[in-house]
Amino acid sequence: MTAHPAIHHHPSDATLAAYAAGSATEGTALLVACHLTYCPACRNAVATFESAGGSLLETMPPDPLTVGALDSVLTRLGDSTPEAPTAAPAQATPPPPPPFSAPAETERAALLLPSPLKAALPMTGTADSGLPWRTLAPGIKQIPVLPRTGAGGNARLFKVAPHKSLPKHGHSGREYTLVLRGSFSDAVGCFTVGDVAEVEESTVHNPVVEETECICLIVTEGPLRYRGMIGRLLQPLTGL
Amino acid sequence: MTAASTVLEGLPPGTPDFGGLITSIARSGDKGAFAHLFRHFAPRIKAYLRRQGADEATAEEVAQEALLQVWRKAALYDPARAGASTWIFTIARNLRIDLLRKERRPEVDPQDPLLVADPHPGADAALEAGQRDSKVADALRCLPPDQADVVRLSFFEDLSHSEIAERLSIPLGTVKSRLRLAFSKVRGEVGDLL
Repeated sequence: MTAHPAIHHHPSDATLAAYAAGSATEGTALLVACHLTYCPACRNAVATFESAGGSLLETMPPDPLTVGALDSVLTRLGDSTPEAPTAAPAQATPPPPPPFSAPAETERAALLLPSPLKAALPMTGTADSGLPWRTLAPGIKQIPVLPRTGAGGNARLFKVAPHKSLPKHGHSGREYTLVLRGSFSDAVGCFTVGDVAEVEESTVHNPVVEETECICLIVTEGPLRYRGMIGRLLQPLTGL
Repeated sequence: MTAASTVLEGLPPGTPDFGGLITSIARSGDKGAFAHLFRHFAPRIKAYLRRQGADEATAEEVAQEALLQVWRKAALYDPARAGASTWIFTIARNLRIDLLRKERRPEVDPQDPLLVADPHPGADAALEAGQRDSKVADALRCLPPDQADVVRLSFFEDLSHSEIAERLSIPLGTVKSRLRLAFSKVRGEVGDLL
């Protein structure tokens, strides 16, 4: 457990509720889970929205099951007993599958990434190699984290040099940026570790990195549309 | 057996404490308690899955699987973390993500060295979880119908905001503001607004 400077920028209630409801896209859910690692306030909000899910479920109009369903389930239970509690702390939800990341890779460990992100990063091969950064433009490197979701969005890790802007682009669908190291500023304010910038489709924004290298997770819910010449040159290369 | 009767009886008014039923399953493999839970929740989980687009057979199969998981994991149920229907909802939700969407749900790792602890843990977590549930239930009951409708649609029908706007024939901005107000009220009732 770590102490941490306060987080000032959070996902919207709609995003947290979607995560609680299980209707967030895969990339958004990943970003929210990472933010929640840093943010007890949002964990409480998610618990509140899960409670809403429970309340709505409890009072929902039922859809009758086929005759004999209960009997057949009781038969399946047979003589089985509920599993004994394990030594691990009890969880309200079934535990997630174990992460498939290789243990103790140098850069992975040094970056201190939240567990859900570690689980989603591609394997890099030897224990000595760092993460597989690919240069997108001078001072800007990326790693695709999730393939495109069904809706055409994606999740990528960016490493951006001090004082650089992220490429100017418009995007379809919502876009989320979670800071994992360093900080950036945009029209809204300054974003540091654990902060989330959530931007609607119609907004074109210009995040500029501060004094130290910034590593952030960026999730879009629709395909990116790059603007400007650099965008047009890069688009076929980045396969967007 | 009556012809064409597919209705399972619902619970009478004055429904027993669902958390108590789960605990009874955990302690003594109480099948009577399980039957009560099944009769209440299986048809509602089925309805939930149908609204998410599952066909009849799949919805029924997954609803049964959800209750089987309730049985198997009854000893893991922790009233300090969530009320019974919340816990059951999360089981149904996770099955839906796993089996219908075929995705994994990313979750906070309680053992993560980066995890920032809650600076104000409650003195009585079980009391707080119970209070949270009843405050949330009250807040939902008191929502104006137009806000309650958009909450239900976004929660249980997996519609995007644009799709909700189309379904209700209202502007997108209206959907967003109704959701914002509704969520704000629910969080406000629980007292956890930032």
